[in-house]
Amino acid sequence: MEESTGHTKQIVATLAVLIIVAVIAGGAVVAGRGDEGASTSTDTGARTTQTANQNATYQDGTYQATGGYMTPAGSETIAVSVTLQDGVVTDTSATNQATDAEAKQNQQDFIDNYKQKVIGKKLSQISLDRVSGSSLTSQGFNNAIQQIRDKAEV
Amino acid sequence: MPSSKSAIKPKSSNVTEPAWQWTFEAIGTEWWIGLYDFAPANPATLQAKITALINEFDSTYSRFRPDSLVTKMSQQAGAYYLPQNAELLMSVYRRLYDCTDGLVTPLVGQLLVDTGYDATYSLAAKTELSRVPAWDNVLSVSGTTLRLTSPALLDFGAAGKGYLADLVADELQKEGHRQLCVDASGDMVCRGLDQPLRIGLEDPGDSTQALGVAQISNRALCGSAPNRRAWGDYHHIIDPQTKQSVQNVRAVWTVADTALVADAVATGLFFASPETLREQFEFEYVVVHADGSLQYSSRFPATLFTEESV
Repeated sequence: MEESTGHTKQIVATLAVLIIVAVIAGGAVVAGRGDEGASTSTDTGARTTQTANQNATYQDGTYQATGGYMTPAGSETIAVSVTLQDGVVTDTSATNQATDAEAKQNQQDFIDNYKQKVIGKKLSQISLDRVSGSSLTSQGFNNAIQQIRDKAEV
Repeated sequence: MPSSKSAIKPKSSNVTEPAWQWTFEAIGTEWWIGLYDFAPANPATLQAKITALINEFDSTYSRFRPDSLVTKMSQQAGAYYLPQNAELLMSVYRRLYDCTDGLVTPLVGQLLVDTGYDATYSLAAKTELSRVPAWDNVLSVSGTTLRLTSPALLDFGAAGKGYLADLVADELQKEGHRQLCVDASGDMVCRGLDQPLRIGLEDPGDSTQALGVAQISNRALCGSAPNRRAWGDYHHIIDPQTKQSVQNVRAVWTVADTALVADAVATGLFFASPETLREQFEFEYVVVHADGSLQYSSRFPATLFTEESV
C-alpha cells in the first residue's frame, strides 16, 4: 500500500501545533488492533516509505518552534525541536512549558510517549474504504443552507 | 458542501470490493449499502424493501414531516401506539437521559425549532427559546405506548439515524446476507466482514485530513462533528439548560455493537464523561476537545497516525 508520511508535508511550526494535538488525556495509547483483534494494522503511518513528493521541499536543518494551545485552565505552550533531512524528521525533542499542574502532567505524558505522537495524514494519500466525518452528513441540511444563502444574497 | 468521497477512492487492489453496492438519498442524507458476500438476486426488490423500511421509520419519528406521528404528537396530548421498534429506541433514550442528567432528551424538539432548526430550515432563532420539560412531567413510556400529558415535539436526532441503520442491516440479514455494511453518513454498521473496512476519521477542522483509520468488521461506528451543521450562533447539539450549542467538544467517534448505542453515546459524549456513560452503555470512543487534544479509550479499533521512527 502506497503512502507518504504525513510529516513530509508539514513545515515545522505547523508540525509543532499538530504535535500538540497529540496531548492525550490520561496517556491512553491506541493499540493498532483491528476490530476484535482479527487483524493488526501495521500499515498507515508505521512505514516511512515515500511516494513521489508533491509540491513542497524542505531545507535540511534543525528547527525550533513554540506552539500554543488552549486548555480548560487557560493557554499553554510547548517547545518543539525537529531535525529535517530530505524532508524527513530524523530527530526531535520537546520541552515542557506548561504552567497549570494538569497541563504539566499532560505535556510530560506526551513528551515521555513521544513516539506515539499523532500527525494528520492526507485523506487522498491513504487507502480507505470509507470516511467517517461530518462533511458527508445531512446533505439535506446543507442543501437547505445553500438555498437560504442564495435567497439571502443581495 | 462538496462530498469528499472522490478524495478517498482506494488506490490499492488489496482493498475488498463488495459484491454489490448501492448509494442513495434518504431522510436528507446520503446512504451507502455494501453487500460483501453475494449480490441480491433481485436488486430492485431489495431496494424497494429498504426504501419502504426507511420511509416507514421516517413517517413515525421525523419531526420534519407534516404527516408524521411525531408531528401529530406535537399537536395533541394522549396515548400513541408506536411500532414494535419503538420499545428499544425509547429504552435507550431513557438510559441516555438518566446518565446525562437530562441533557440528552427527546423533548428537545421545540428548543431546536426555536433556535431555527425547524421543518423549513428557517435557521432563524426566535427571541424566546422554549424551556425543555422534564421527561416525567410530560412523557410516559410503556412498551411501545407513549403517553403525553401535553403536546410535545420529540426529536430523535440523538440516536434515531443510528437505530435506523441497524434496522436496515437487520433487513439485509433477513435476506440472507452475512457480510454487509450500511453507512448512513456518520452512522455506520458492519456485520460479518471477513476483511475489516478501513474508515478514515476525518479531521473536524480539515476535511482533507484524517486523524486516523478505524477498522470495523462487525461493529457500529458513529462520528459526530457538529461544526459542519451550524447556523448563526448554533450547531445542532444544543444544551437544554443553557439553550446554547455545546462548545467544548469538537468531534466524537464511538464504536459499539449497535449503531443505536454508538449514536446515542456519541451524542452523550458532548454532555457527559465516558465514565458516566459507561455506567449504562458499552462502547469505545475518541473525543476531540475544543483545544484539539484527543481523549480515547485504549480499545478503540483504530490506528491514530504515528511516527515509527522519530
